Amino acid sequence: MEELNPVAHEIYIEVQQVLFKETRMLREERWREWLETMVEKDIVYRAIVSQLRFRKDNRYTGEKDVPSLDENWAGLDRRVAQMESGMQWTTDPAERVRHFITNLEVFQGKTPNEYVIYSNCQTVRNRRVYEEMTYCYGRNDIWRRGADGKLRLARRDVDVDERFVSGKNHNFPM
Amino acid sequence: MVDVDSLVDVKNGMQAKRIFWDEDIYKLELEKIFGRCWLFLTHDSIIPNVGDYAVTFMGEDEVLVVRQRDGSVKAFLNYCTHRGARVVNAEAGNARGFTCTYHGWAFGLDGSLESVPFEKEVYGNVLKKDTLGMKEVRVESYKGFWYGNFDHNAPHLADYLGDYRWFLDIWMEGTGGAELIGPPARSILKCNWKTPTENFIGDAYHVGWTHAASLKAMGGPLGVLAGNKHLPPEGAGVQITSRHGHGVGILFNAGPALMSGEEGAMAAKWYAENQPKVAKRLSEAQAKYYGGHFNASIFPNNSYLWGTNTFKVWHPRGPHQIEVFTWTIVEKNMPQELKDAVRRSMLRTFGTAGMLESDDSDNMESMTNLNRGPHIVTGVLNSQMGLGNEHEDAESGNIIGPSAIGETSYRGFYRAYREYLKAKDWDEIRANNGKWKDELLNR
Repeated sequence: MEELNPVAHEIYIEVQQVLFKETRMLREERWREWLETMVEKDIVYRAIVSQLRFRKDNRYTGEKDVPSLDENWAGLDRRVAQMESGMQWTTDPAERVRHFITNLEVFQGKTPNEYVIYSNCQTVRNRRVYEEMTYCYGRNDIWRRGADGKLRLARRDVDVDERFVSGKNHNFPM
Repeated sequence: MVDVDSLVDVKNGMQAKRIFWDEDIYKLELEKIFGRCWLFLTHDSIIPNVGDYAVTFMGEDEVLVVRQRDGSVKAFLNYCTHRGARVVNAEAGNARGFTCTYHGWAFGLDGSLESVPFEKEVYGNVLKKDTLGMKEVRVESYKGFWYGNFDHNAPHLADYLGDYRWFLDIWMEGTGGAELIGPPARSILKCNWKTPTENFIGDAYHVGWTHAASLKAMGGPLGVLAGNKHLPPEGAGVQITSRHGHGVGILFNAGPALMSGEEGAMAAKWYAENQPKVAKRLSEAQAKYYGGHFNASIFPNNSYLWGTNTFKVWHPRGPHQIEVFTWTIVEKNMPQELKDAVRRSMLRTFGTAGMLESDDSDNMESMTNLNRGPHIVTGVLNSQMGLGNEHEDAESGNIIGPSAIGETSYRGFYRAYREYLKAKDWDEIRANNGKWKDELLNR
């Protein structure tokens, strides 16, 4: 892997605050505001699970990645539209989703305007009366600074640890 | 002793709710259904090369499926014949043989016990290695789709699929074959295995309502159904049920389903271009259905959607839980760009983060879990829509319900379900071959 350079302390804090703000916005169901103000138009938003393979097996030709999410801006827009439709009964009564973001590392990206951000996430999702679900995953993000000076999400690769989905589905903001 | 006749009323389209909850009924299902029906294992595209293997389930039994040196496929129960530990801990791969992690007994690709550590020193001449191979399961394939069966008296897979092949061939054969993409996504749902099977086999009724928000947001040919604003017009589709309970519902010309914009146009173009080829390769009658949206299940627990392109197995884990295996399915000859678009659309709709998948699972879980109530579980369920409208389909030999929305294939599924639970063996089931339609057609 290419050596990455850590950013200055002020930028580290700025990025951390942006990530915290993002999770709060999503928790407060401000989906459209999130998409319009924090997400780049060329966004790639992916989540994968990994199939279990033997370490020494290098002969099998099948894919190892099991994609769970593979969205562009238009796809995210449809997901937001689903929530805005007023007809989404699965989140009525509302779900509660709380993110915990830790092990944050921030590096300079390929251009001066881009940052590569690694984090570990634990997300607890509650719905209906009895369903409490916990998801553990890593995120590799790329955030880009626009002409207005604001950071926006350009790419997110979510790497989910659990091989199967015990918590029903991955249909929540990861 | 389970009174099977009390569980399903075919003529009146009703089922006892106990079949979604009771332990003794579930045990009977494992024996009489999962013990003798053809169960989906894997596809040629997952294990193309000699030594390729995949691990899956048949009912609750863990199974290892292996591509043999002669190109054939064998399947084995995934346990060591010595002390019963799991032999293969990976989910898929390529191997020259399989060695148990406990004491190192080593099996060949063909399941035979090849070597035992210190055999001579510790066993002398006691061990009859030729009787200690991994326990083999019968397998057969149809158009590259491999299924396993625990019952050697079961009919061949092709006969088990029977006249239903007429509808399978439309997409499994029509444009040169189908394939599964990638490893399966796996998820746990707390529902009975029959609940998603019946939903996929013939529930076009819920589409406009359960998925109202998703359809409204996504557009595409199915989008017009959002919120039950429109009923599919007269003659917009059909429902089919067949000899062994497999069924399908088809909505005509809705193939691009929930793909809109450029991707939807690309899918629509593919279907339009290929329809004449399907007519040539199969028949005009089959080509008429090509380009439609199919919702379907192969009895007992293998469902697929053609158009939204998901292929699923609902593995039972007790009466109240399932493990879902989900693949994307595409036509082999589709251009890569279209395959990629189809895969993204499948993930968005029926993948583990799918918008429609999440809608369905909420219903499926409550339909199961509420049965813990002793007053709820004694009830019966209703599937009477379109009762009396069915007739024999002269083209395919199956029973057809001549409307897009109806519960014909529900009734056919539970007719077969009762038949399997009642029958002593496959000979008894074969004896019904000439009269299976009578009850459904009320004659």
